[in-house]
Amino acid sequence: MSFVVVQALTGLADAASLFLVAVGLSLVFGVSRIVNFAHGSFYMLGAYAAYSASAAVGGGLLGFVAGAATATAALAGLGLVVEVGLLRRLYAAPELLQLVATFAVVLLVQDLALAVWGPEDLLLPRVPALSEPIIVLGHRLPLYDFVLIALGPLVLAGLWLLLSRTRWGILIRAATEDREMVAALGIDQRWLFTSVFCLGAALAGLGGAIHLPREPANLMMDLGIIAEAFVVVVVGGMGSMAGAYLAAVLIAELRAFGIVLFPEITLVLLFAVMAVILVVRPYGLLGRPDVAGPQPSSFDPHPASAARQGLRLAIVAGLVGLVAVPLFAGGFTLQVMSEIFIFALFAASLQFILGIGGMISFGHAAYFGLGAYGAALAVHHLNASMPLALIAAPLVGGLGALVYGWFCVRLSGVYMAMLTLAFAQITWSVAFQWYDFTGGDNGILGVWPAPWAASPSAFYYLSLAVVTIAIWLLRRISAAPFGFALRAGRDAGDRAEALGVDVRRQRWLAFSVAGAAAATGGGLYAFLKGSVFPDVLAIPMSVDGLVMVLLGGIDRALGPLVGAATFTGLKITISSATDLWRSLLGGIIIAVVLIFPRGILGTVGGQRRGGAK
Amino acid sequence: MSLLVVEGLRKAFGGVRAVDGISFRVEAGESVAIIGSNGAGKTTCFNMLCGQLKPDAGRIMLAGRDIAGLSPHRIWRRGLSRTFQVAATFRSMRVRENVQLALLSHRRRTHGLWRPVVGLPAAEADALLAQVGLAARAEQPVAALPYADRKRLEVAMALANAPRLLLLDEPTAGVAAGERRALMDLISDLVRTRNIGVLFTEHDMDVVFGHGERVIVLHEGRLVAEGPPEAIRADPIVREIYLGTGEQTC
Amino acid sequence: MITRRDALVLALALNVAALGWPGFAARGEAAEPIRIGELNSYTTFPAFTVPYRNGWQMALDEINAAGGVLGRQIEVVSKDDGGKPADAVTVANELVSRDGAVLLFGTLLSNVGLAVADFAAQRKVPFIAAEPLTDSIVWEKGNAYTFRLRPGTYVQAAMLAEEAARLPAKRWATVAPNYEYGKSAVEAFKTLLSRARPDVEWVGEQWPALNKIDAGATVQALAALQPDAIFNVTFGTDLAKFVREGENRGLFENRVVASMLSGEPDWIDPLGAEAPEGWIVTGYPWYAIETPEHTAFRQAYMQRFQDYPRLGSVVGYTTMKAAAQAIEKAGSTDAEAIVQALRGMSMMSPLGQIEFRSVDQQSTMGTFVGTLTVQEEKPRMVDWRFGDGAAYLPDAAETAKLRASE
Repeated sequence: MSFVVVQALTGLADAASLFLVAVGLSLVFGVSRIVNFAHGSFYMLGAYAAYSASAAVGGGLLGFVAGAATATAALAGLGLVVEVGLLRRLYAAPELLQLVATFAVVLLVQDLALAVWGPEDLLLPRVPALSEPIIVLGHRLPLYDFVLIALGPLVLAGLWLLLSRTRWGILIRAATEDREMVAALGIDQRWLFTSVFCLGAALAGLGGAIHLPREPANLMMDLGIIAEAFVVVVVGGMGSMAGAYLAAVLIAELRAFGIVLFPEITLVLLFAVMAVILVVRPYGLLGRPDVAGPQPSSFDPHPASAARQGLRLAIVAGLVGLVAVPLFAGGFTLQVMSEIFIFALFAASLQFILGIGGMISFGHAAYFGLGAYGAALAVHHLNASMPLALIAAPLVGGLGALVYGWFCVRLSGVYMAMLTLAFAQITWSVAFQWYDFTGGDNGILGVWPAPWAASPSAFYYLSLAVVTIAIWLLRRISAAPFGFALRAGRDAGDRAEALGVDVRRQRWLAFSVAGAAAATGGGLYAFLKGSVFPDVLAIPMSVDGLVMVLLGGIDRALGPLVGAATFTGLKITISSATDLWRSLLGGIIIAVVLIFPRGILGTVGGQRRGGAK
Repeated sequence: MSLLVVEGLRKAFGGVRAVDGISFRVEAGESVAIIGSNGAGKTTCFNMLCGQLKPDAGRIMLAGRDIAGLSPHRIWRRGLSRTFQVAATFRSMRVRENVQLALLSHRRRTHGLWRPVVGLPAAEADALLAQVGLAARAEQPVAALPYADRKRLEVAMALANAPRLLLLDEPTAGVAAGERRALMDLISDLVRTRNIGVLFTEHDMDVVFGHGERVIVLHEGRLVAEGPPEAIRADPIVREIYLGTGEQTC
Repeated sequence: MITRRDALVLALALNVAALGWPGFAARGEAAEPIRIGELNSYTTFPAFTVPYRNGWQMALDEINAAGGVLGRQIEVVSKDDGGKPADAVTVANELVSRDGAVLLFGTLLSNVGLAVADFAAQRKVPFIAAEPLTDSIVWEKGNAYTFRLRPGTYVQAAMLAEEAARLPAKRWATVAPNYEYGKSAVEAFKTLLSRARPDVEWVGEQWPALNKIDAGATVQALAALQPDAIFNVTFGTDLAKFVREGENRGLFENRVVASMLSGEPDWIDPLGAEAPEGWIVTGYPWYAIETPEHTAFRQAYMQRFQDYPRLGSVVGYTTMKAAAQAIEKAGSTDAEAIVQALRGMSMMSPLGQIEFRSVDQQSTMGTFVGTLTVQEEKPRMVDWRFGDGAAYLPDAAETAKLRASE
């Protein structure tokens, strides 16, 4: 019994910095609808800043407090820079483009932290005053755990006072609940957005600082916390502070007891619980439906019309050009281009549900990865031939999408996105931990193409053919009644329902089609790389897909191709040339996003449509 | 047998009885207006008829079959079509495509993956567009239409499944006063020629009394009066609770 | 819809992409240096890969200063593998296809190493995996073209098990990151210790997620098992958190901990004065190894980089030397000849004589086992001894069974 109490106290202490990070993320999202991937980077910088400030003061309790204060202030300042310098310029752009921008900030911060603080983990020297043991029911707990346990509710109370007792806070709450209303009141929203972003960044910085006595500042903190913070925000309910606290405690306790009860499946547990909560309570524990978040808006006036004669000619000419590439290009070029084709299909399938279906997926890698694993497992366990494995890929991925999609399409906006993320993470965890079947982290090796497809040019033609056909099919479906009914559901769901369209089923089938298409690419990818590892299912793969779609232009037919070619091409070229590729890539993405806020094609086109939503 | 029979319809939201036991009928070819002040229960009632809300109690018989609690797309298939207070159209499509989609849905072909929409019942769509006076705009994107035309387009879409009953939620809301009459005349014509029952809500009393053959008055979730326009106009209860404050302006 | 302009932009993008990789550029012949490809997780794990890079660069300069091999200089084309197996395959492909590398070496993460090893087998390019710990790279999934330098999980666990068997402790608990490395280490340690000490009782296991340990909760869960001793496999930030919370909560009082890799400066130095004293660890006491070959290496390294060597430095240095020696021995840059040369090749390393066993192409490089302590605020290994890898690796017959799939 005493063990249960002590374990629960430890869980409460663990919840503190998770809460601080999540509540900031939630506030920012509530007000400005920004899904801020860089929030984890703020947390990491907070820890580093606190370390440096503490060292400058000479350590000890004073150093720690000074460090925490400095981190909070410094991150508020950085938040200001990021918001004013970058995000403010993007509010008018399609939602989700900000997501790409914050992803670029993540890349920049990674190199920045490495340059400033070096590669080694920085462990804050023990602060004796904080480590003072307190005996609880015969167990020793450090004093600092009690500080953390108290801090969560204190910050929550402080924020509550701030938001309910100040004019600024009331405006923030109003903006969370009804943005149009605040705009109509003639309040300068820019200032509101900036200030709440700074507050969020400052909270993340504080979260990093208070974590420092328990974990060394290190370069993996950013991505380590961001997924969990998203889980907390969504489980708690977007924009709800009390919900964030509740969810942070829930998740911390879940882990504290999970490691005792199910020590080997802690990874799955977190996301499984999130999935269950979202299925049962679609808007989180304390969330409200009206804060569901961005619905990707796409204004393509006549996307489905068949290409005109001249354009068909241009496309055929382009294809002929691509067919001719192996005549002069070397093996490596061909394989990189094969990879680009594969990612183009991945991005096109994501665009299909995102652009036409209006569904956001943060977990599209699940289907790409299921395809890759489907093909690899067919080869590995069933000795399947390459064509059979390539057929298995869309079947496995499509089936996965059919199952996951059934739950996901019941939600919308960011909630749907987070449920897709949860399913992707569950799939990832299974691949990562089911060693006997998937090879776990060591993956599945020896998935090389059959001899007839082994040469770079043969594989190039194979992927060009498969991808061209698959993308053409997707376009065909978009232009067919199915695609129209799907778009109808996106444009005006109630209207479509009142015209006999079963919107949910339409979305479900579209999700499955997209899953199968992504999986087709995944199958090719397995053979291109010769092996499959769990990271084909991981969050970065999903983010890459989103970046490609948005970079190319969410509503442009060739957007996925251009996005995949730009992103993959840049990444391979730059990372081959310099160790600073992350900041370079981040910088380029920011430049692209600022110059082409509707995606590369979306903006070059200049087809201006009705004002921003 | 009446086209629509509503019996004892109820819906409460957290203790507030939005619709509290309403019963009425609509015959084929008849045009019935529902009026009432804001919060009288018109919208709740409408949403239950089209399936967006599930009634707590009561029956909704459409041509003899109970449709209460069915999903909107099922109800539409039974022959109940509607328009929205704020014209809802598919803004990423052309005008013709909006109607084409409605026609395709009627033929249960929204799962077609292969043939492009372009050629599918285009002639029929154009015929419907011609009936609402939008033939010339078929090629335009919906986003380019004036608001009143979008209302017309919605009517064309609503007619695509040859409905037995048409629900119009404030058909003239947001339409300039001068165009209201034309719009309502158009609807009346279509209804008459097709022998459709019409149920509509409206704030504009000219429209109500000019186009409703029968008027139903709701107040605080209850049906308080029902009858031909002249009778309603003269009804003392109605005058007191609804018209008493003077003619409702839009 | 697809517009003419979209098609144009796409064509442009693809052209730029194609031009970005002039794969058709012919590579020169005789006078050119011999190109070797190198890849590692420089951006993802800089703390471990930068000392490693220093190591191979120092070796490279020594080799070239001495006239290179086969009368040609060696040029190493080094790239970041991004810490992801799939990206690493692209990089390896680039090194082989475009840069004309005749041999590949590098990698840190096990899965990256495995992916590159499989690529090497497919493309028939010799590959020396420098740092991956997984033994499947030379055993279950071993292939003819892949060699590994660093002692793997099994050898490290075997050395710790040998020490652990001498302890009185009977009740053992384990804590390991929940992935292949952690699983293999625990399995090997349990098997070997149980074999040596049948009376040992395994009272429980903790499997924190890699880089996500809930240290306080894990420590309490371990304490609740009341073990006499703990076998630890966590490393990196997980280790720092585990040690701190363990100290806070008194987990290590009157308990022995046997810990994988925790004596390697790469992993333990960030803990500074808080390194857990008394732990039995495998590691690299660079400050105390005074063999002539090591002293020379250490002096040269410290002089050049103004920093002390990590284990990664030794690995990088030795891998580079092995590559050069193999090419010299092969007498050509032909892949098959290099592979033949590497099989059974013996050479000198800063840690003494090593050999790439022909049975599994694993080097016999050994490691050090000792007790962790803190001297002058720094973690130090004392009472250490060197264990030769040859003495701990399974013998040829057993290894052949492990490699049966080949």
